[in-house]
Amino acid sequence: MNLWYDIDSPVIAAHEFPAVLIDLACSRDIEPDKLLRGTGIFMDDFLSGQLTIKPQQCLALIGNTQKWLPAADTAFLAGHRLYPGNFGPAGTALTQAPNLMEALQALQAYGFILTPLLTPRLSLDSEFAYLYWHESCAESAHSAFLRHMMMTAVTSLCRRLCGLSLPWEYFLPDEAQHPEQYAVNWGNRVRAGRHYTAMRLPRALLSTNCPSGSASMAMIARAQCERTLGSRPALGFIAFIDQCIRKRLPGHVSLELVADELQMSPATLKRKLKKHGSHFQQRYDTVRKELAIEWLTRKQLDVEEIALRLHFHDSRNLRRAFKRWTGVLPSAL
Amino acid sequence: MIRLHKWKLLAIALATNLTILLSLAVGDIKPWASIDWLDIIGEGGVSLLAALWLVFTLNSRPTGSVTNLLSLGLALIFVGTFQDLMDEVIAIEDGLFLRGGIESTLMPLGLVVLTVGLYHWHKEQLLFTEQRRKREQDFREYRMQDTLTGLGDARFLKQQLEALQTQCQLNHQPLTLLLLDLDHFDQTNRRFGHREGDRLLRELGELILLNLRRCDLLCRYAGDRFAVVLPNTGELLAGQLAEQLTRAVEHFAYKTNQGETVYHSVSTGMATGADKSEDSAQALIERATLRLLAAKDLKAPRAA
Repeated sequence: MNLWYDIDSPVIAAHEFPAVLIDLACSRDIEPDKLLRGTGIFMDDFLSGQLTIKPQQCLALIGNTQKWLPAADTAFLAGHRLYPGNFGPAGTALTQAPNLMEALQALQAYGFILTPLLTPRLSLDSEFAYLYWHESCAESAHSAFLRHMMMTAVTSLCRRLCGLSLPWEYFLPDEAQHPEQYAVNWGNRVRAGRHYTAMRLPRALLSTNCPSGSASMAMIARAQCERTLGSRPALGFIAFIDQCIRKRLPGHVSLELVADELQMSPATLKRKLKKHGSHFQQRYDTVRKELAIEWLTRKQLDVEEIALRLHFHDSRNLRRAFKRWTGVLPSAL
Repeated sequence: MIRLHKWKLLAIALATNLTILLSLAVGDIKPWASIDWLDIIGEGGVSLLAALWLVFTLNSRPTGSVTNLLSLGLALIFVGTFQDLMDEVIAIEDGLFLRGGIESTLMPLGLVVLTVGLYHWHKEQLLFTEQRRKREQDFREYRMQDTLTGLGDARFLKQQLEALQTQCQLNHQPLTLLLLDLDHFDQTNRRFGHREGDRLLRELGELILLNLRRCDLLCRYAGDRFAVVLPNTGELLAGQLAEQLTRAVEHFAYKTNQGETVYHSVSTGMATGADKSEDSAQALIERATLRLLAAKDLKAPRAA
């Protein structure tokens, strides 16, 4: 059984996630063969509903979509249209969830179907529910597009499930690129330049009922998923490696240890990471950056403690690394 | 282009062919040694550019008298320069009409026809500019145009807002920014499909334009949010205009493709930059957005 999928494993059903992009382009009168040029996807295969494509083909499709629909609102439109879509039982588990909590849990559990290129991670504390978004298969040129699309998709879905707008707060890693799109699609709680991608909601709202949901339907859909999808890899390779590292911390982490866990030689792991446009130190630094920010802002740990947990010699070294990762000192957060 | 302008293209191809044949009939091909490559590059370049202008013109225009004039002028220039190019490759005896004669008649003739064409194109353009006045006022930039509605986008809005603010401050006039946001647009999209939603936005843009004054500027901010810049307008007048627009949208009976009638309402938010105030365009937009959200909250309470 495979635990992860590679950037070139054919795992994404073309009629699920990619369909929304093809559909959007067609509704804007873009010729299908122009849109699919260079992606290795053919319209007839797509329409057969049997086609599975590789994550890299899906990324190429996003590239083409942006080329032919260069307007700033493309990602947001695609996000609004993504759910309920045609996602089989995973989609049913999502849209029939009886409350918001179960919807977000379904999104996380079946992320490899519902959002195969950007992996959601739900994290709760006493005050807020955070939904973090991580790279799934590769650091790509389209990560901003995917971010905008997926966060809009979740916003739109939750509004639809609950029947009212929710006070989501958004955290973006870079500067605000399309403030007008954020204002219209997400509202006025958008925090740019935060070095991570997440959205959060007051935790109390997770128990909000979804009037159109049905607990029994959702339960059946989940059972169906377990039966038919149990053997499917649940995470993209990069997300899987990041998860390994995150789980091991604050214990010892090294390329050899992770390779051992994946039952492959360190050389193979190196080669695989290279294929996904990354390397071990980059993964290790990314996870440590995310954890450092999380612990600083949510757990209010002090820098000494974090340095210890993340294997820095002392807090001065952590401060220097943090400055390198984010451009600011930990105290500036 | 080929479908619309096939006769013109055919005639140009024929004329070009004819000049080649005629030149060959009366002259002989020059030996390599006596060909002046600088001339070939210079005249060939002019000929190529003329052909390129012709392609752009034909490609961007429907048929009609202005198109005919423009393409005739450019075609004459092209054939003239092409014959000039032939001169360089084919030796023609001095004294024959083909030696320089074609070029010196076709080129001036072409330029005159092109000038007449440009004059009429200018008249035509004035007509369109008047029609597009409330969309672009004194500034046109196709790269800042929203492809769906043909209105300016958020960047265009910000740029024009800044320009109009400076202008109003110079004249000691107030200026108001009005934001209009459709209520429950997502439900319309879900009920009737996104194609209907797109068409609704386009028609709504037209409707709002009809209700504006000549000096006002309408932009599509993003999604279902429109922005209207109202120069020389204080809060009181802007309030009346907002009220008029709200009523216009409420009475707009949008027909879906199935013939179903759908009514919509809008929420508005406005911000006035008073005389001499130091507000930036961004600050004005943010103030109007806050008022708009407050108005939305009154209609449909959010989860706290």
